Amino acid sequence: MTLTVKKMVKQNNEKRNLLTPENKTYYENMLLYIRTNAFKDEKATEEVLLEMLDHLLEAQKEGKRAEEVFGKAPQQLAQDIIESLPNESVKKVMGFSLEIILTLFGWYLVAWGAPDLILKEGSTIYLGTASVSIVLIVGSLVGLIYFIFAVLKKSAFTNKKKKNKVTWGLGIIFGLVWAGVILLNIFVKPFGPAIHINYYTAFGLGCFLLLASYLFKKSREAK
Amino acid sequence: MLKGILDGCVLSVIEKEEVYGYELSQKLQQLGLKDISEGTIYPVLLRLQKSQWINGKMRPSDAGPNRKYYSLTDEGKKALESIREEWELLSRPITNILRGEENDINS
Repeated sequence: MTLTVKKMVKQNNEKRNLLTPENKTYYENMLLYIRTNAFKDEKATEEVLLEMLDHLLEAQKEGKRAEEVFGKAPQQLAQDIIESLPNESVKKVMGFSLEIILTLFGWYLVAWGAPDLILKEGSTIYLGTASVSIVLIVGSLVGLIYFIFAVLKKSAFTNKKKKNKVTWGLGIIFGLVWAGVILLNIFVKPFGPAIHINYYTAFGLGCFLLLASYLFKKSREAK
Repeated sequence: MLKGILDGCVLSVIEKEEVYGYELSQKLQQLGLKDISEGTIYPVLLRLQKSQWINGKMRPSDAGPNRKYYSLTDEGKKALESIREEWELLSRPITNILRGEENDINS
């Protein structure tokens, strides 16, 4: 009997609540550190996380503390586990990236096309401006996601005060990047060949992309 | 070198019967490896699975919940044999060297 990744994550969330506060903090730091490592086989990752949680729960019943079970160097242990995990296949990484990009563009087009749909007015797209915006948005998002993962991983074993600082820093960077994109769209004159689209084209295309990404997600989760 | 030895110990326990993670760590401790943190078995188990020396299967345990039970593959049996042979060759000289004895073991 094999569990899907989604089910294992759910089980993990439920079982984690059975830990004592001290053990929970210890375990969750390790979980965060291991999970924020991209490009490792997701299923194997969740399997070992669940195994270790079960282990800790059994030890807890005998009155043991996490530090006694998994040692005083959780970061080193987490690092050893990451290095021993099998790599995610390139195909899966590509599939997942495609799914994220589809979702992103889907929502973008839906939000952007909604006013047109309501007003029943078409709009003009300048291919130059549009492609620069797309590159900026995708680039900044990829950078941001990567950065969040790196910071989360780095801060997994640091104290709470430092974590708050990091969260604030991230928020500010996020805001600045998006302000930049918006300003660019307002102040730089549209350029490139213009094409005219119907009032439903953008919204329809957005819906289509969202549907595609949803189907991708379902087929991925079923594995 | 120590890494390979721990691998051998884990393989030997699994050879006797299928075990899950917690059970394995308890058995190793009962066998005298008390200084090894229970967590260290997980990187070992992952490594052994990657080399396809052991197989992990989720199934319900006697206590109820699903656990991942490990069993030895044919390749794992072969690997364990070669670790055993290697250990036979090394254990005596190493013990002697570390004790500081200079007896020539061939005499």
